Amino acid sequence: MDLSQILQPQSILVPLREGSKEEIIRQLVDALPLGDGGPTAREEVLKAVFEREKVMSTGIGRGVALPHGKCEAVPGLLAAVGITKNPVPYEAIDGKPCRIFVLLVANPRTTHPHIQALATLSKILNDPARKSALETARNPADVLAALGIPAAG
Amino acid sequence: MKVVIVGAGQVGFHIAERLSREGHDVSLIERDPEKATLMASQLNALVVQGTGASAESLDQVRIANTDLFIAVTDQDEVNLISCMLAKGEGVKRVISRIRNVEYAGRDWRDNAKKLGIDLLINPQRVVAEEICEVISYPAAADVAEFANGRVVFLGYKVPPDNPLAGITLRELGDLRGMYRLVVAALSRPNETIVPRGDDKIMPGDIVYFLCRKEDLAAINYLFGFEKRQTRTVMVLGGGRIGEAVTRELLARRLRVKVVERSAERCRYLAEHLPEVPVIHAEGTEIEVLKQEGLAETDVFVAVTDGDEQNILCSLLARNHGAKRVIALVSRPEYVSLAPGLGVDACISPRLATAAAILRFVRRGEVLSMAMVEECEAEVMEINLPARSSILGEPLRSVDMPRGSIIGAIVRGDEVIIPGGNDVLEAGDRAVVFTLPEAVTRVEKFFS
Repeated sequence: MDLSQILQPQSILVPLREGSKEEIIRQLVDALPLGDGGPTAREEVLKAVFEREKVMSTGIGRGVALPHGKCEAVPGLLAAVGITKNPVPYEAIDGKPCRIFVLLVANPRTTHPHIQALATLSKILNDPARKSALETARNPADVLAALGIPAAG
Repeated sequence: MKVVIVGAGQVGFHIAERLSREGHDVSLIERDPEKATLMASQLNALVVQGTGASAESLDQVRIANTDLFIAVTDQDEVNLISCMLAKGEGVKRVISRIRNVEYAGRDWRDNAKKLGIDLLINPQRVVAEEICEVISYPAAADVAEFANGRVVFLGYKVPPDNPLAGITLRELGDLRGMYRLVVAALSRPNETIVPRGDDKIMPGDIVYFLCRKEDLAAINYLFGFEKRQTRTVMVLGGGRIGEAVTRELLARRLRVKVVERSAERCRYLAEHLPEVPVIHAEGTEIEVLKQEGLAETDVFVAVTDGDEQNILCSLLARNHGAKRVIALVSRPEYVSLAPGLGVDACISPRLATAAAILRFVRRGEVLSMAMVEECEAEVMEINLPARSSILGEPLRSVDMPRGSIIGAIVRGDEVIIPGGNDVLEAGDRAVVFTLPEAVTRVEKFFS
């Protein structure tokens, strides 16, 4: 799965402002390039991500969270990444606070790439070396490099 | 284990074949000489022509050293008497099939105990329970629960637009952090496989997986199998099975209508189930069924005593708007045929009864067991031995018998859906999926 198609440098927030679970997700959604969709599209995406979060926390443990959702307001598949300076509470399944957040939102019709992207990201975030590279990332380029995405141009 | 089976009908034959294939010492008593000859040629078992209710037949199978006695003739009285005789001869465990509800009612349980019968199996009840379980998971082709309901085994047909279509097992494995499930098998028209890394889930496959019940909502969110809830059910056939299914569904607070062709039976149902609308019609009278709300029905269940009737009427119902159709199918040849025709789930009295008996047979180290109708695979919940070379090793280096996979580990209050790095410990219970050809090796492996 080629992540460069779904993750724009302007959707990478380092550092991500620390805050509540809701504030974290809101910052990430605000960073998505939703184009003409405007504020309504953003609200719909937020709703979809929170709905998924209600089913079961996407804090997958060891300081990583992968909030995601399906939403008509998104044309295809979009991602945003944020890394906080300090770990914040996120109701993760291992009970530990999180620092690395990757948001993934898919149109309900692109569910197959959605699952492949989730799988690719889960795998990357399970790799201790890549995870620590993300934790020390100081700018979007560092994050892209840690995710194995070649720099643009 | 020495096993004696009385009655070579579908259930008797199925169990005899299964247990002899697993290496047990099986004897079969069959009254019909022609059938007995046929069985002798088809089975690796001692076949005696005679009745189970006679001392002579029992002598011929050397009844005294028998561990398990299973009476499944089509006559309740013969089953009961054979079982009593066998128990008198010192057989350790005896099982009797009972069709007559009067014999198999609740009070009968106490009487069975007095007569020394260890298990009474009522096929109607077994089938009704199975149908209701399938109905409670609206889109599932197969359902079973383990570890007191904390682990579920589910089978779903993968439509072309399902996100799982085209996904490899490796990709699913990468999702383990969030979506924990073990895919036990993929069932295709001519084969059922226990898939690994690069195997891909294809549209049209039935995917069988195990997961924790509490994770089911999230798994469902991502894969979108269960999109609707079941509220209304139309039952075709108001015979004993239809009545048992209806009662079970009412207990689950579903709205049920029964369609029955016999006026006499309709009167009986109206009297005994006053809260249920009973429609006097044939399953093929589609206009009548439409007036009764067929198009708005969530599930249509055909449980008449004719396989062809059940398959045909459920397909007809599907064509006229029933959202999901389930058919009772006895003939083994039809069970594998029906899914391809568009029947969402098939329930076989033969397999359901055989499964209930096998569950009892495997009692001991095996705590619970389910059979998968489409491919005759089994899912077993097994107590692990206190000492074994498989304990303490990461699962990736445990050499499981080909055609089997561990889908869940139960450790005290905890349920683990394992990956390659998880380890089995003494005192664990494992939920194991196994294809029919691997059952014996799996039982040996865990003993």
